[in-house]
Amino acid sequence: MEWQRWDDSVSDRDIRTFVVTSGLGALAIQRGALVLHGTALERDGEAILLLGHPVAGKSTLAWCLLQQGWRLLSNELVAVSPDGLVLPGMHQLKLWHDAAVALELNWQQLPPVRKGLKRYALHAHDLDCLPEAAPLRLIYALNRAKADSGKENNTEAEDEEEKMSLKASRNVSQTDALMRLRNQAFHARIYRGMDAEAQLFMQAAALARKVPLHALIVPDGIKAMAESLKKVDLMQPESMQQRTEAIEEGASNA
Amino acid sequence: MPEDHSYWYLASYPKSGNTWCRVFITELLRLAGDGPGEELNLNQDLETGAIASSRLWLDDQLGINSCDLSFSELDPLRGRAGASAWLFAEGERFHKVHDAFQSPDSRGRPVVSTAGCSGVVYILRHPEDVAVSLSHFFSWPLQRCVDHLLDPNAALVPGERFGGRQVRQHMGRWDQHVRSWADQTQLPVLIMRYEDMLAKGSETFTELAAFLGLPSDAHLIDQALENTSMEKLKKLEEDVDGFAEKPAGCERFFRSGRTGEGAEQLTIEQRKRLAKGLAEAMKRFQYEGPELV
Repeated sequence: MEWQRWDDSVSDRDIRTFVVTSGLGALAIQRGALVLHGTALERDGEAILLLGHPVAGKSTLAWCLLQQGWRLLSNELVAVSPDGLVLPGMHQLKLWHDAAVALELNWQQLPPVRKGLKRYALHAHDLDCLPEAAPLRLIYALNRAKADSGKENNTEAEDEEEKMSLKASRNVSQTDALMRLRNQAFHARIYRGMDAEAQLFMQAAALARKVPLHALIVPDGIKAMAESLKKVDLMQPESMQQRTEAIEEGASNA
Repeated sequence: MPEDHSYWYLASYPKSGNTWCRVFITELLRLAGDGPGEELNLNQDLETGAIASSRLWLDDQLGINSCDLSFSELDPLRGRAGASAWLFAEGERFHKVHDAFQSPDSRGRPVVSTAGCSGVVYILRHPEDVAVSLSHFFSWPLQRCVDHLLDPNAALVPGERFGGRQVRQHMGRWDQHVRSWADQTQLPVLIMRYEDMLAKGSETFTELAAFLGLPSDAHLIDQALENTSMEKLKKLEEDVDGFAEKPAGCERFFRSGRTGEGAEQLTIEQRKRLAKGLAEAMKRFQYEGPELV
Protein backbone atom coordinates (compact mmCIF):
# COMPACT_ATOMS: atom_id res chain seq x y z
CA MET A 1 0.00 0.00 0.00
CA GLU A 2 1.39 3.39 -0.93
CA TRP A 3 0.50 6.69 0.61
CA GLN A 4 1.62 10.27 0.69
CA ARG A 5 1.54 12.73 3.52
CA TRP A 6 0.20 16.08 2.27
CA ASP A 7 0.11 17.79 5.60
CA ASP A 8 2.59 17.45 8.45
CA SER A 9 -0.13 17.77 11.03
CA VAL A 10 -1.39 14.35 9.97
CA SER A 11 0.26 11.75 12.16
CA ASP A 12 1.00 8.10 11.43
CA ARG A 13 -1.66 7.27 13.97
CA ASP A 14 -4.21 9.33 12.01
CA ILE A 15 -3.34 7.50 8.83
CA ARG A 16 -3.34 4.10 10.48
CA THR A 17 -6.76 4.71 12.01
CA PHE A 18 -8.44 5.07 8.65
CA VAL A 19 -6.24 2.78 6.56
CA VAL A 20 -6.93 -0.26 8.73
CA THR A 21 -10.67 0.40 8.81
CA SER A 22 -12.13 2.00 5.69
CA GLY A 23 -9.07 1.27 3.55
CA LEU A 24 -8.66 -2.35 4.55
CA GLY A 25 -12.41 -2.94 4.33
CA ALA A 26 -12.56 -1.60 0.77
CA LEU A 27 -9.57 -3.73 -0.21
CA ALA A 28 -11.12 -6.89 1.24
CA ILE A 29 -14.38 -6.22 -0.61
CA GLN A 30 -12.44 -5.72 -3.81
CA ARG A 31 -10.87 -9.12 -3.26
CA GLY A 32 -14.28 -10.72 -2.94
CA ALA A 33 -14.57 -11.12 0.83
CA LEU A 34 -17.71 -10.76 2.88
CA VAL A 35 -16.85 -7.89 5.24
CA LEU A 36 -19.21 -7.12 8.11
CA HIS A 37 -19.33 -4.34 10.66
CA GLY A 38 -18.85 -6.12 13.98
CA THR A 39 -16.58 -7.87 16.43
CA ALA A 40 -15.56 -11.53 16.34
CA LEU A 41 -14.27 -13.55 19.27
CA GLU A 42 -13.14 -17.15 19.71
CA ARG A 43 -13.30 -19.69 22.50
CA ASP A 44 -12.44 -23.40 22.37
CA GLY A 45 -11.85 -23.23 18.64
CA GLU A 46 -15.20 -21.67 17.71
CA ALA A 47 -16.12 -18.10 16.90
CA ILE A 48 -19.05 -15.81 17.58
CA LEU A 49 -19.77 -12.59 15.76
CA LEU A 50 -21.35 -9.53 17.39
CA LEU A 51 -23.09 -7.24 14.94
CA GLY A 52 -24.55 -3.87 15.75
CA HIS A 53 -24.77 -0.22 14.94
CA PRO A 54 -22.10 2.15 16.17
CA VAL A 55 -22.27 2.55 19.98
CA ALA A 56 -24.42 -0.59 20.39
CA GLY A 57 -21.89 -1.98 22.87
CA LYS A 58 -19.84 -4.36 20.73
CA SER A 59 -16.44 -3.25 22.01
CA THR A 60 -17.55 -3.16 25.64
CA LEU A 61 -18.98 -6.66 25.41
CA ALA A 62 -15.84 -7.81 23.64
CA TRP A 63 -13.60 -6.42 26.37
CA CYS A 64 -15.67 -8.20 29.03
CA LEU A 65 -15.57 -11.46 27.10
CA LEU A 66 -11.78 -11.21 26.79
CA GLN A 67 -11.67 -11.14 30.61
CA GLN A 68 -13.54 -14.45 30.58
CA GLY A 69 -11.05 -16.28 28.42
CA TRP A 70 -12.30 -15.47 24.94
CA ARG A 71 -9.80 -14.35 22.31
CA LEU A 72 -10.22 -11.48 19.88
CA LEU A 73 -10.34 -12.43 16.22
CA SER A 74 -11.22 -9.06 14.77
CA ASN A 75 -12.85 -5.81 15.75
CA GLU A 76 -14.70 -3.17 13.71
CA LEU A 77 -14.56 -5.07 10.48
CA VAL A 78 -14.81 -8.83 10.22
CA ALA A 79 -14.10 -10.83 7.08
CA VAL A 80 -15.86 -14.19 6.75
CA SER A 81 -14.68 -16.70 4.16
CA PRO A 82 -17.11 -18.62 1.91
CA ASP A 83 -16.64 -21.76 4.03
CA GLY A 84 -17.71 -19.92 7.18
CA LEU A 85 -14.34 -19.15 8.73
CA VAL A 86 -13.76 -15.87 10.48
CA LEU A 87 -10.40 -14.55 9.38
CA PRO A 88 -8.14 -12.85 11.91
CA GLY A 89 -8.23 -9.12 11.32
CA MET A 90 -8.13 -5.96 13.41
CA HIS A 91 -6.55 -6.84 16.74
CA GLN A 92 -7.55 -3.64 18.45
CA LEU A 93 -10.41 -2.44 20.65
CA LYS A 94 -11.54 1.15 20.99
CA LEU A 95 -13.27 2.17 24.19
CA TRP A 96 -14.93 5.48 25.00
CA HIS A 97 -13.80 7.30 28.11
CA ASP A 98 -16.97 6.49 30.04
CA ALA A 99 -16.64 2.79 29.24
CA ALA A 100 -12.97 2.74 30.26
CA VAL A 101 -13.86 4.36 33.59
CA ALA A 102 -16.79 2.04 34.24
CA LEU A 103 -14.64 -0.99 33.43
CA GLU A 104 -12.02 0.31 35.85
CA LEU A 105 -9.27 0.50 33.27
CA ASN A 106 -6.30 2.71 33.94
CA TRP A 107 -7.36 5.11 31.20
CA GLN A 108 -4.62 7.65 31.93
CA GLN A 109 -2.17 5.06 30.62
CA LEU A 110 -4.12 4.30 27.46
CA PRO A 111 -3.31 6.02 24.15
CA PRO A 112 -6.22 7.94 22.60
CA VAL A 113 -7.43 6.53 19.28
CA ARG A 114 -6.39 9.86 17.82
CA LYS A 115 -5.02 12.98 19.41
CA GLY A 116 -7.66 14.87 21.37
CA LEU A 117 -10.31 12.14 21.36
CA LYS A 118 -11.77 10.83 24.59
CA ARG A 119 -11.64 7.37 23.13
CA TYR A 120 -8.81 4.97 23.81
CA ALA A 121 -7.08 2.24 21.85
CA LEU A 122 -6.24 -1.15 23.30
CA HIS A 123 -3.71 -2.78 21.04
CA ALA A 124 -2.83 -6.41 20.37
CA HIS A 125 -0.18 -6.49 23.09
CA ASP A 126 -2.82 -5.53 25.68
CA LEU A 127 -5.31 -8.11 24.49
CA ASP A 128 -5.58 -11.83 24.05
CA CYS A 129 -5.81 -12.26 20.29
CA LEU A 130 -6.09 -15.22 17.96
CA PRO A 131 -3.90 -14.99 14.87
CA GLU A 132 -5.64 -17.76 12.92
CA ALA A 133 -9.06 -18.36 11.38
CA ALA A 134 -11.86 -20.00 13.36
CA PRO A 135 -15.22 -21.47 12.26
CA LEU A 136 -18.18 -19.19 12.90
CA ARG A 137 -20.69 -20.85 15.18
CA LEU A 138 -23.16 -18.08 16.10
CA ILE A 139 -24.06 -14.53 15.12
CA TYR A 140 -25.64 -12.03 17.48
CA ALA A 141 -27.32 -8.81 16.35
CA LEU A 142 -27.05 -6.39 19.26
CA ASN A 143 -29.86 -4.15 20.40
CA ARG A 144 -29.36 -1.81 23.30
CA ALA A 145 -32.27 -1.93 25.75
CA LYS A 146 -33.78 1.50 26.29
CA ALA A 147 -33.25 2.77 29.83
CA ASP A 148 -36.88 3.79 29.93
CA SER A 149 -38.54 0.94 28.09
CA GLY A 150 -42.07 2.05 28.77
CA LYS A 151 -44.88 0.27 30.48
CA GLU A 152 -44.33 -3.26 31.70
CA ASN A 153 -46.76 -5.37 33.61
CA ASN A 154 -44.11 -7.00 35.76
CA THR A 155 -43.44 -6.09 39.33
CA GLU A 156 -40.63 -3.66 39.97
CA ALA A 157 -38.24 -6.29 41.27
CA GLU A 158 -38.67 -8.34 38.13
CA ASP A 159 -38.24 -5.20 36.08
CA GLU A 160 -34.89 -4.50 37.66
CA GLU A 161 -33.80 -8.05 37.03
CA GLU A 162 -34.98 -7.80 33.43
CA LYS A 163 -33.12 -4.57 32.80
CA MET A 164 -29.90 -6.09 34.08
CA SER A 165 -29.88 -9.26 32.01
CA LEU A 166 -28.79 -10.19 28.53
CA LYS A 167 -31.57 -11.69 26.47
CA ALA A 168 -31.36 -13.58 23.23
CA SER A 169 -34.13 -14.40 20.81
CA ARG A 170 -34.58 -17.76 19.13
CA ASN A 171 -32.60 -17.80 15.94
CA VAL A 172 -34.30 -15.54 13.43
CA SER A 173 -35.51 -16.70 10.03
CA GLN A 174 -32.98 -16.99 7.22
CA THR A 175 -34.60 -14.11 5.37
CA ASP A 176 -34.39 -11.90 8.43
CA ALA A 177 -30.79 -13.00 9.01
CA LEU A 178 -29.93 -12.22 5.41
CA MET A 179 -31.34 -8.70 5.69
CA ARG A 180 -29.51 -8.05 8.93
CA LEU A 181 -26.21 -9.30 7.53
CA ARG A 182 -26.65 -7.21 4.44
CA ASN A 183 -27.43 -4.14 6.54
CA GLN A 184 -24.28 -4.70 8.58
CA ALA A 185 -21.97 -4.81 5.59
CA PHE A 186 -18.81 -2.76 5.99
CA HIS A 187 -19.81 -0.40 4.29
CA ALA A 188 -22.94 -0.93 2.21
CA ARG A 189 -22.02 2.11 0.18
CA ILE A 190 -18.59 0.77 -0.65
CA TYR A 191 -20.19 -2.42 -1.94
CA ARG A 192 -22.51 -0.33 -4.02
CA GLY A 193 -19.75 1.89 -5.29
CA MET A 194 -17.78 -1.18 -6.37
CA ASP A 195 -20.85 -2.61 -8.04
CA ALA A 196 -20.56 -5.58 -5.68
CA GLU A 197 -24.07 -5.63 -4.22
CA ALA A 198 -24.98 -8.89 -5.91
CA GLN A 199 -21.83 -10.44 -4.45
CA LEU A 200 -22.79 -9.16 -1.00
CA PHE A 201 -26.30 -10.54 -1.32
CA MET A 202 -25.11 -14.01 -2.36
CA GLN A 203 -22.48 -14.14 0.38
CA ALA A 204 -24.87 -12.93 3.07
CA ALA A 205 -27.49 -15.45 1.95
CA ALA A 206 -24.95 -18.29 2.10
CA LEU A 207 -23.87 -17.26 5.59
CA ALA A 208 -27.49 -16.93 6.77
CA ARG A 209 -28.10 -20.52 5.65
CA LYS A 210 -25.02 -21.80 7.40
CA VAL A 211 -24.88 -19.95 10.74
CA PRO A 212 -27.79 -19.14 13.11
CA LEU A 213 -28.39 -15.50 13.96
CA HIS A 214 -29.99 -14.38 17.23
CA ALA A 215 -31.08 -10.93 18.33
CA LEU A 216 -29.34 -10.01 21.57
CA ILE A 217 -30.80 -7.41 23.89
CA VAL A 218 -27.98 -5.74 25.81
CA PRO A 219 -28.78 -3.96 29.07
CA ASP A 220 -28.24 -0.21 29.09
CA GLY A 221 -25.16 0.93 30.99
CA ILE A 222 -21.60 -0.40 30.95
CA LYS A 223 -21.69 -1.90 34.44
CA ALA A 224 -24.99 -3.64 33.79
CA MET A 225 -23.56 -5.01 30.57
CA ALA A 226 -20.47 -6.38 32.32
CA GLU A 227 -22.52 -7.89 35.15
CA SER A 228 -25.06 -9.49 32.84
CA LEU A 229 -22.33 -11.38 30.97
CA LYS A 230 -21.25 -13.22 34.09
CA LYS A 231 -24.53 -15.10 34.25
CA VAL A 232 -24.71 -16.44 30.71
CA ASP A 233 -22.72 -18.33 28.10
CA LEU A 234 -22.74 -16.74 24.69
CA MET A 235 -22.02 -20.13 23.10
CA GLN A 236 -25.40 -21.25 24.51
CA PRO A 237 -28.08 -18.83 23.32
CA GLU A 238 -30.70 -21.07 24.97
CA SER A 239 -29.19 -20.11 28.32
CA MET A 240 -30.63 -16.60 27.99
CA GLN A 241 -33.81 -17.00 26.00
CA GLN A 242 -36.53 -15.11 27.76
CA ARG A 243 -39.59 -13.17 26.80
CA THR A 244 -39.15 -14.03 23.16
CA GLU A 245 -42.14 -12.02 22.03
CA ALA A 246 -40.81 -8.81 23.52
CA ILE A 247 -37.41 -9.45 22.01
CA GLU A 248 -38.73 -10.09 18.54
CA GLU A 249 -40.84 -6.99 18.73
CA GLY A 250 -37.87 -4.91 19.86
CA ALA A 251 -35.70 -6.39 17.17
CA SER A 252 -38.10 -5.57 14.37
CA ASN A 253 -38.11 -1.92 15.36
CA ALA A 254 -34.35 -1.66 15.14
CA MET B 1 -40.11 4.84 -14.77
CA PRO B 2 -37.37 7.39 -14.21
CA GLU B 3 -35.84 7.17 -10.76
CA ASP B 4 -36.54 10.17 -8.59
CA HIS B 5 -33.54 10.92 -6.41
CA SER B 6 -34.64 14.37 -5.33
CA TYR B 7 -34.58 15.03 -1.62
CA TRP B 8 -35.53 17.83 0.74
CA TYR B 9 -34.63 19.08 4.17
CA LEU B 10 -37.10 19.86 6.89
CA ALA B 11 -35.04 22.21 9.03
CA SER B 12 -35.95 23.81 12.33
CA TYR B 13 -34.76 24.68 15.78
CA PRO B 14 -35.81 21.72 17.97
CA LYS B 15 -39.42 21.71 19.21
CA SER B 16 -40.77 23.94 16.47
CA GLY B 17 -43.12 21.61 14.63
CA ASN B 18 -40.70 19.60 12.49
CA THR B 19 -42.14 16.23 13.43
CA TRP B 20 -45.68 17.40 12.85
CA CYS B 21 -44.64 18.52 9.40
CA ARG B 22 -43.00 15.15 8.74
CA VAL B 23 -46.09 13.29 9.93
CA PHE B 24 -48.25 15.47 7.72
CA ILE B 25 -46.15 14.70 4.64
CA THR B 26 -46.25 10.99 5.42
CA GLU B 27 -50.01 11.12 5.86
CA LEU B 28 -50.53 13.14 2.69
CA LEU B 29 -48.51 10.62 0.69
CA ARG B 30 -50.38 7.76 2.33
CA LEU B 31 -53.76 9.26 1.47
CA ALA B 32 -52.69 10.04 -2.08
CA GLY B 33 -51.36 6.50 -2.58
CA ASP B 34 -53.24 3.43 -3.74
CA GLY B 35 -55.61 1.96 -1.17
CA PRO B 36 -54.36 3.70 1.98
CA GLY B 37 -54.67 1.52 5.09
CA GLU B 38 -56.78 2.40 8.06
CA GLU B 39 -54.54 4.60 10.14
CA LEU B 40 -51.01 5.92 10.39
CA ASN B 41 -48.61 4.04 12.72
CA LEU B 42 -46.19 6.56 14.17
CA ASN B 43 -43.40 4.09 14.80
CA GLN B 44 -43.64 2.22 11.52
CA ASP B 45 -44.76 4.61 8.83
CA LEU B 46 -42.63 7.61 9.62
CA GLU B 47 -39.69 6.54 7.48
CA THR B 48 -39.42 9.77 5.59
CA GLY B 49 -35.63 9.82 5.90
CA ALA B 50 -32.77 9.84 8.36
CA ILE B 51 -32.04 12.88 10.48
CA ALA B 52 -29.04 14.60 8.92
CA SER B 53 -27.04 14.22 12.15
CA SER B 54 -27.52 10.45 12.45
CA ARG B 55 -24.17 8.81 13.16
CA LEU B 56 -25.18 5.61 11.43
CA TRP B 57 -26.22 7.51 8.33
CA LEU B 58 -23.06 9.64 8.31
CA ASP B 59 -20.81 6.61 8.74
CA ASP B 60 -22.52 5.03 5.80
CA GLN B 61 -22.36 8.18 3.70
CA LEU B 62 -18.74 8.98 4.45
CA GLY B 63 -17.48 5.40 4.52
CA ILE B 64 -15.63 5.98 7.77
CA ASN B 65 -16.23 5.44 11.45
CA SER B 66 -17.25 8.92 12.60
CA CYS B 67 -16.34 7.95 16.20
CA ASP B 68 -12.71 8.25 15.09
CA LEU B 69 -13.17 11.95 14.31
CA SER B 70 -13.65 14.89 16.65
CA PHE B 71 -16.81 16.94 16.18
CA SER B 72 -14.76 19.83 14.83
CA GLU B 73 -13.18 17.53 12.25
CA LEU B 74 -16.53 16.10 11.33
CA ASP B 75 -18.42 19.36 10.70
CA PRO B 76 -16.49 20.37 7.56
CA LEU B 77 -16.97 16.85 6.17
CA ARG B 78 -20.67 16.59 6.82
CA GLY B 79 -21.66 18.72 3.86
CA ARG B 80 -19.85 16.30 1.59
CA ALA B 81 -21.89 13.34 2.69
CA GLY B 82 -23.79 12.61 -0.41
CA ALA B 83 -21.55 14.12 -3.05
CA SER B 84 -21.93 10.79 -4.81
CA ALA B 85 -24.85 9.97 -7.06
CA TRP B 86 -26.21 7.14 -4.92
CA LEU B 87 -26.74 9.46 -1.99
CA PHE B 88 -30.16 8.65 -0.65
CA ALA B 89 -31.88 5.32 -0.62
CA GLU B 90 -35.04 5.32 -2.67
CA GLY B 91 -37.99 6.62 -0.74
CA GLU B 92 -36.01 8.49 1.85
CA ARG B 93 -36.74 11.94 0.65
CA PHE B 94 -37.42 14.23 3.58
CA HIS B 95 -34.59 14.69 6.02
CA LYS B 96 -34.99 16.32 9.38
CA VAL B 97 -32.25 18.77 10.41
CA HIS B 98 -31.86 20.64 13.68
CA ASP B 99 -28.35 21.97 12.99
CA ALA B 100 -27.86 25.54 11.90
CA PHE B 101 -26.90 25.64 8.20
CA GLN B 102 -23.25 26.18 9.16
CA SER B 103 -21.26 25.56 12.31
CA PRO B 104 -18.25 27.50 13.65
CA ASP B 105 -16.17 24.44 12.71
CA SER B 106 -17.56 23.89 9.24
CA ARG B 107 -15.26 26.49 7.62
CA GLY B 108 -18.10 28.40 6.04
CA ARG B 109 -19.54 25.30 4.43
CA PRO B 110 -22.99 23.98 5.17
CA VAL B 111 -23.11 20.98 7.50
CA VAL B 112 -25.57 19.27 5.21
CA SER B 113 -25.10 18.20 1.65
CA THR B 114 -26.57 20.58 -0.89
CA ALA B 115 -25.68 18.54 -3.99
CA GLY B 116 -28.86 17.30 -5.61
CA CYS B 117 -31.04 18.80 -2.88
CA SER B 118 -34.30 20.23 -4.16
CA GLY B 119 -34.82 22.65 -1.31
CA VAL B 120 -35.51 23.20 2.33
CA VAL B 121 -38.60 23.81 4.38
CA TYR B 122 -37.64 25.93 7.36
CA ILE B 123 -40.10 25.83 10.25
CA LEU B 124 -39.99 28.36 13.03
CA ARG B 125 -42.02 28.97 16.15
CA HIS B 126 -42.28 31.72 18.74
CA PRO B 127 -39.12 31.39 20.87
CA GLU B 128 -41.14 31.74 24.08
CA ASP B 129 -43.16 28.66 23.14
CA VAL B 130 -40.01 26.84 22.03
CA ALA B 131 -38.62 27.41 25.54
CA VAL B 132 -41.64 25.77 27.16
CA SER B 133 -41.59 22.84 24.78
CA LEU B 134 -37.83 22.33 25.23
CA SER B 135 -38.38 22.30 28.96
CA HIS B 136 -40.83 19.40 28.73
CA PHE B 137 -38.78 17.52 26.15
CA PHE B 138 -35.44 17.64 27.96
CA SER B 139 -36.84 17.93 31.50
CA TRP B 140 -34.91 21.20 31.87
CA PRO B 141 -36.01 24.16 34.01
CA LEU B 142 -37.40 27.08 31.96
CA GLN B 143 -34.45 29.26 32.89
CA ARG B 144 -32.06 26.84 31.26
CA CYS B 145 -34.18 26.76 28.10
CA VAL B 146 -34.15 30.55 27.87
CA ASP B 147 -30.37 30.53 28.31
CA HIS B 148 -30.14 27.89 25.59
CA LEU B 149 -32.13 29.95 23.08
CA LEU B 150 -29.79 32.89 23.74
CA ASP B 151 -26.53 30.93 23.72
CA PRO B 152 -24.43 31.52 20.55
CA ASN B 153 -22.70 28.19 21.23
CA ALA B 154 -25.84 26.17 21.86
CA ALA B 155 -25.63 22.67 20.48
CA LEU B 156 -27.10 19.26 21.04
CA VAL B 157 -23.98 17.41 22.09
CA PRO B 158 -24.08 13.69 22.74
CA GLY B 159 -20.93 14.03 24.87
CA GLU B 160 -17.33 13.53 23.94
CA ARG B 161 -16.68 10.72 26.37
CA PHE B 162 -19.06 8.21 24.86
CA GLY B 163 -20.38 7.62 21.39
CA GLY B 164 -23.86 8.88 20.64
CA ARG B 165 -26.32 7.83 18.01
CA GLN B 166 -26.14 11.34 16.68
CA VAL B 167 -23.22 13.65 16.15
CA ARG B 168 -23.04 17.16 17.57
CA GLN B 169 -25.67 19.51 16.20
CA HIS B 170 -24.66 23.14 16.45
CA MET B 171 -27.63 25.47 16.62
CA GLY B 172 -26.27 28.71 18.03
CA ARG B 173 -28.56 31.46 19.25
CA TRP B 174 -32.18 31.08 18.07
CA ASP B 175 -32.03 34.07 15.72
CA GLN B 176 -28.70 32.89 14.27
CA HIS B 177 -30.33 29.55 13.55
CA VAL B 178 -33.24 31.26 11.81
CA ARG B 179 -31.00 33.48 9.72
CA SER B 180 -28.62 30.67 8.79
CA TRP B 181 -31.44 28.89 6.95
CA ALA B 182 -33.66 31.79 5.94
CA ASP B 183 -30.84 33.81 4.39
CA GLN B 184 -28.74 31.08 2.80
CA THR B 185 -28.81 31.20 -0.98
CA GLN B 186 -27.67 27.70 -1.89
CA LEU B 187 -31.05 26.01 -1.57
CA PRO B 188 -34.57 27.19 -2.39
CA VAL B 189 -36.33 27.75 0.91
CA LEU B 190 -39.92 27.82 2.07
CA ILE B 191 -40.31 29.45 5.47
CA MET B 192 -43.27 28.28 7.56
CA ARG B 193 -44.32 29.66 10.91
CA TYR B 194 -45.69 27.09 13.33
CA GLU B 195 -48.37 29.61 14.26
CA ASP B 196 -49.58 29.71 10.63
CA MET B 197 -49.55 25.91 10.43
CA LEU B 198 -52.00 25.97 13.33
CA ALA B 199 -54.12 29.02 12.52
CA LYS B 200 -54.14 28.85 8.72
CA GLY B 201 -53.65 25.11 8.20
CA SER B 202 -55.18 24.63 4.76
CA GLU B 203 -53.42 27.60 3.25
CA THR B 204 -50.02 26.91 4.83
CA PHE B 205 -49.95 23.19 4.11
CA THR B 206 -51.19 23.71 0.54
CA GLU B 207 -48.22 25.99 0.04
CA LEU B 208 -45.99 23.30 1.55
CA ALA B 209 -47.37 20.59 -0.73
CA ALA B 210 -46.95 22.82 -3.78
CA PHE B 211 -43.36 23.66 -2.80
CA LEU B 212 -42.51 19.98 -2.38
CA GLY B 213 -44.29 18.97 -5.57
CA LEU B 214 -46.74 16.76 -3.65
CA PRO B 215 -50.45 16.33 -4.34
CA SER B 216 -52.09 19.56 -3.16
CA ASP B 217 -55.75 18.79 -3.81
CA ALA B 218 -57.77 20.70 -1.18
CA HIS B 219 -59.66 17.61 -0.07
CA LEU B 220 -56.43 15.64 0.49
CA ILE B 221 -54.77 18.47 2.39
CA ASP B 222 -57.73 18.90 4.71
CA GLN B 223 -58.04 15.17 5.31
CA ALA B 224 -54.31 14.87 6.06
CA LEU B 225 -54.53 17.85 8.41
CA GLU B 226 -57.47 16.35 10.22
CA ASN B 227 -55.65 13.02 10.59
CA THR B 228 -52.58 14.73 12.04
CA SER B 229 -54.22 17.16 14.43
CA MET B 230 -52.59 17.36 17.85
CA GLU B 231 -55.50 15.45 19.39
CA LYS B 232 -55.13 12.73 16.77
CA LEU B 233 -51.36 12.55 17.24
CA LYS B 234 -51.78 12.17 20.98
CA LYS B 235 -54.10 9.25 20.38
CA LEU B 236 -51.74 7.70 17.81
CA GLU B 237 -48.89 8.05 20.31
CA GLU B 238 -50.93 6.15 22.89
CA ASP B 239 -51.73 3.49 20.30
CA VAL B 240 -48.06 2.72 19.72
CA ASP B 241 -47.28 2.94 23.45
CA GLY B 242 -44.78 5.80 23.16
CA PHE B 243 -43.27 7.44 20.09
CA ALA B 244 -39.80 6.09 19.32
CA GLU B 245 -38.28 9.60 19.10
CA LYS B 246 -39.26 10.48 22.66
CA PRO B 247 -36.27 10.75 25.04
CA ALA B 248 -36.10 8.95 28.38
CA GLY B 249 -37.85 10.92 31.10
CA CYS B 250 -40.13 12.75 28.67
CA GLU B 251 -43.69 11.72 29.33
CA ARG B 252 -45.15 12.24 25.90
CA PHE B 253 -43.80 13.59 22.63
CA PHE B 254 -47.01 15.15 21.37
CA ARG B 255 -47.87 17.21 24.41
CA SER B 256 -49.88 20.35 23.78
CA GLY B 257 -48.91 22.04 20.53
CA ARG B 258 -50.61 25.19 21.70
CA THR B 259 -49.27 28.68 21.00
CA GLY B 260 -48.93 31.28 23.72
CA GLU B 261 -47.78 28.91 26.47
CA GLY B 262 -44.50 30.78 26.72
CA ALA B 263 -46.21 34.06 27.50
CA GLU B 264 -48.15 32.32 30.27
CA GLN B 265 -45.34 30.33 31.83
CA LEU B 266 -42.17 32.40 31.43
CA THR B 267 -41.47 35.19 33.88
CA ILE B 268 -41.55 38.72 32.52
CA GLU B 269 -37.77 38.90 32.99
CA GLN B 270 -37.28 35.76 30.94
CA ARG B 271 -39.56 37.08 28.21
CA LYS B 272 -37.73 40.41 28.18
CA ARG B 273 -34.38 38.67 27.84
CA LEU B 274 -35.64 36.75 24.81
CA ALA B 275 -37.23 39.84 23.27
CA LYS B 276 -34.03 41.83 23.73
CA GLY B 277 -31.63 39.15 22.58
CA LEU B 278 -33.65 38.05 19.56
CA ALA B 279 -35.29 41.38 18.68
CA GLU B 280 -34.47 41.60 15.00
CA ALA B 281 -35.48 38.08 13.99
CA MET B 282 -38.62 38.20 16.13
CA LYS B 283 -39.70 41.42 14.47
CA ARG B 284 -38.93 40.07 11.03
CA PHE B 285 -41.20 37.07 11.56
CA GLN B 286 -43.89 38.98 13.44
CA TYR B 287 -43.30 37.49 16.87
CA GLU B 288 -44.38 39.76 19.67
CA GLY B 289 -42.69 39.95 23.02
CA PRO B 290 -43.28 42.07 26.10
CA GLU B 291 -42.78 45.83 25.94
CA LEU B 292 -39.13 46.67 26.45
CA VAL B 293 -38.77 49.82 28.47
